[in-house]
Amino acid sequence: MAATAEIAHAPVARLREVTVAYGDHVALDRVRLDLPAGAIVGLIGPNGAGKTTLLRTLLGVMQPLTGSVDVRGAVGYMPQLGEAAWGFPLTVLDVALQGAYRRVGWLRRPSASDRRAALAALERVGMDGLAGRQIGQLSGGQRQRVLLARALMQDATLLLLDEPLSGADAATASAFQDTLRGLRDEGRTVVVSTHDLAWAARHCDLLCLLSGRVVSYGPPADALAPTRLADAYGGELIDVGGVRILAPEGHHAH
Amino acid sequence: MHYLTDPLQFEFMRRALLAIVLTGAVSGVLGSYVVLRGLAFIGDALTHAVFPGIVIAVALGRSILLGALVVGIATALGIATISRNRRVSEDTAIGILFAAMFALGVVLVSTLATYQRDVADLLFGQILSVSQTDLYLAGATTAVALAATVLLNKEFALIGFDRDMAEAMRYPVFVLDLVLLGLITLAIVVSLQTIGNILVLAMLVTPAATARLLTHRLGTMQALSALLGIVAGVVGLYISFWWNVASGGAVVLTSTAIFFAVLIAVELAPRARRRSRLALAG
Repeated sequence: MAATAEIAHAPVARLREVTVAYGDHVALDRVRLDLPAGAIVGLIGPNGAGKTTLLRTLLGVMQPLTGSVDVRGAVGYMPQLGEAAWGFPLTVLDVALQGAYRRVGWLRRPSASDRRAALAALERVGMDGLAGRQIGQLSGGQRQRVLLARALMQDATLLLLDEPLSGADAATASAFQDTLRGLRDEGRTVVVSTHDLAWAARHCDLLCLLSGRVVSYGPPADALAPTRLADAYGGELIDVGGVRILAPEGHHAH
Repeated sequence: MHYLTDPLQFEFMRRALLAIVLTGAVSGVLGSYVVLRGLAFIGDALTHAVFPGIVIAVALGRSILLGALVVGIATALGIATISRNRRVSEDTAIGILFAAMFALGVVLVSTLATYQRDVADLLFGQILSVSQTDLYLAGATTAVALAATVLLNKEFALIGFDRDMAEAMRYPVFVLDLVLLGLITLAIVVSLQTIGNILVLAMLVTPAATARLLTHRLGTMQALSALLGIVAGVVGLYISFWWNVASGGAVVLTSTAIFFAVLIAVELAPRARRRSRLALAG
């Protein structure tokens, strides 16, 4: 962990020696990570590196075996596209509103101002024109943007996006980049897990290269140093802007 | 006009109509979740599992609604717990559980020879013997089930649409699933006497499936499903009165006829309508 970022202010999230396991399988091994306020942090690494597990740990859904997780403020989340039941009879506005449900509280309905906020969130991702559509009628990229709008509705200081751009069209990718930059400028922290190293290097302030443990963490140029990449990906295919290349064998590969 | 009004001179028919309206309303609203979340098999399991509760209630001379309610809630709890365990697949576990419960009911019936007629009524429904007490109990149960569904509807919809997100938002997803199964059990219990144990599932599935063909808004679907359940119930009851056929069967067949009529109408409708139907597959 040579390239740990220098954090001036109190971090939004602080992980210390966090180990998470599913039964006998250790998914995250002694992870140490500080997420600063106002940053776009890319979470990269091969399949099974523990990216989703790290997000679930930050959410509090997964309990670490050992170590401590301190998160300051509300956490927002955008799950992977494939998880939801898209045939459900809900409109685009209904789904965006879901992000406000915890604020609305039990036994109550969203108010008119919640609806206005949901429309504003949809407008921010360019989906306000389709607010009345049934969600199943949207394209993949449109669905991704609605899920991002829902995450915005959570009004979180820390936003966790799990593979938000896999298979996204150009309009969706550009809407995401604008929104992410806007969130950072508001002082929020966005963690984006992705397979696309080129996208991550171009749009993230910090990258965390995972492979069951933190291989490197810092500005893209440092985090993606060839030895680090070989360490994490050794011998596997890496996605660079949609082009797959073979990572060189590192000393950690078998 | 006397076709409609004649049956109303009879006290038992007035009670039966009220009971079938309650059945249609509560099954329609909860049935929406049975259809949307693919819970038909669990629903079927619950209807069979309450059978021993009914037999015991009959044997003790207690309200069958009460017997079914107690056993039904216990089974809902069992199913929700088993579905958390990864060692046995969910449908296998449910299959084992509900067959065992139904078998228990069958064994209990065989020890109570004199009650066999009452029990047969419960398997096939005996809406014409609904008592004033039954009606009060069914009314109260329906009110509780509908109120709880309305109050928890946004959480139920979130879990049904995106369970992952509901967990990430730190909702008690397991408890809410349990509550939903409990409410479905209430709907089943209300329908037992009117429709009969074996056909209850149809009231949970058919009106809701019909409503889904006509709308893609959840609230509208639930209201429409309740309306369709009530219409099928009332029409089926009149058919059963005038043609002297089993009421439960008549209601279910009416509901099925409505489903196919709507399905054909939607298939044949102009393009705009067809596009909205594609949402079902999406």
